[in-house]
Amino acid sequence: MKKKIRYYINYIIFFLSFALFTRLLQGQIVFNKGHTGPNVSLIGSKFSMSKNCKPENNSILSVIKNKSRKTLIIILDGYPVASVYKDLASEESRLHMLLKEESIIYGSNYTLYDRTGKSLAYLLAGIKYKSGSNCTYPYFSNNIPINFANSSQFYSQDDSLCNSRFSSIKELIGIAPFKILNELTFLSERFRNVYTEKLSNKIKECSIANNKIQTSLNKWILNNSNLNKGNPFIFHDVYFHQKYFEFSRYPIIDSQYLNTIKSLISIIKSSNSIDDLIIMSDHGPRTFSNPMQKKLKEHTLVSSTRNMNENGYFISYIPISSNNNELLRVISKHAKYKF
Amino acid sequence: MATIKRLDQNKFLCKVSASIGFLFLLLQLLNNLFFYKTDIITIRFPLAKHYGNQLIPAQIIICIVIMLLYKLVKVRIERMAWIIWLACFTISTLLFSFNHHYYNIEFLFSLLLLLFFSLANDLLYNTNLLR
Repeated sequence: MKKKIRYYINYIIFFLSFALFTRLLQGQIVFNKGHTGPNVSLIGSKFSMSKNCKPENNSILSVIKNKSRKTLIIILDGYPVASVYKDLASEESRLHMLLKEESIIYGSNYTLYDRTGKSLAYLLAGIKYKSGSNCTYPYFSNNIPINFANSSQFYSQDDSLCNSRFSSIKELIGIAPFKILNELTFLSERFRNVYTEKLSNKIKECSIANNKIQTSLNKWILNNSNLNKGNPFIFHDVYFHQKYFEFSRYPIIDSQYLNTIKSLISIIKSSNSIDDLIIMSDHGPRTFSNPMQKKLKEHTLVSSTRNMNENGYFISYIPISSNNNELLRVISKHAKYKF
Repeated sequence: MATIKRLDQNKFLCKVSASIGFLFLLLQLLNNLFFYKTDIITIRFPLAKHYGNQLIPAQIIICIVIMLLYKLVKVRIERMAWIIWLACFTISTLLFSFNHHYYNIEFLFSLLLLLFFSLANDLLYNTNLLR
């Protein structure tokens, strides 16, 4: 009996081990070949760096580097340009109105790409994406150090304002079981919704939508003012990006962003923690092309085109200490249109 | 005669699955050394700290210890099998937490199942259970 059971167990072990080994091999080949992200392996990463991945002259990053002024760039990931916002939310964006009032230059344009990594490499560094290259934001082939002021599930940096990982055991116990249940595809929607809600709350805590973040952000900048001088602080906000398919929430998020940014501008002006403030988006909400959100296709926009919706971005420059004319010149090339 | 044949087959299957487990460990090590690419949308700085590269010394040590246990200490193959799959499970779980995207809950659960069967196999070989 024992020998018979062992015989069967050995067969199970053999097939399971073979299946898992081939699955790992397949996963690694498919993932490493199919992804355009950087090679982060210990030795391989040394060979995959491209020395040509440098910001173009007259790009935002090169100007910031040359001037050695302290610059904060707030990126509102996926936030629509004013006209697309109006189409989707059926009202004017008060945030766009504030940016028009506060900035010395404000405008919109089309980016070549509707994906963050490629689009911001183009907008900030003037780099056009070449297939297979890892010259994308925020890695830039390890040539351009970036100081992330915040961390999210997409981009994170140690010692930034908030952590993308669980900050305490209590938080781990509160979220991790739902994350695991969320990954099991056969389980009900209910667990998925709880996890999505918990994740959303965590993202909001570290977002411009959190109306308490402006003070801690200013404090963080003051404490880290010597960090990689000549490189910008980047606050990459992904809260809207996670909610862009909920059109009814646009006015709420717009007013949350408006209040925090208004208050942040006055705080940094009074403390003089930075010299220049740039607020921009990287692309629009992908309401046309997102295959996961079929219901969005019902919302065919009348006045805005797909290009304006997904590739439209806005940029505004608010000088804090004094005008940076070089930066003004570069940004005015981006802010060509008012749509 | 049939029993002896079955015993031989058990040993052979156990050897093959232990060897596959060792290859599994080597594959993870090679990937961490040369090939692993992260997703373009999830970048964590500093890169050296967040993608499991700090596990490489431990992975090398584990591979050497396993070879020594088998060649020098002559640990029997049934025991070697679960030691190897325990190492595979531990490293895979750690790499999962270090943003290696091809590990998922189902994969880790299958590894745990494999570890459980290997352990059961060793227990059955070593004890009088189910005699």
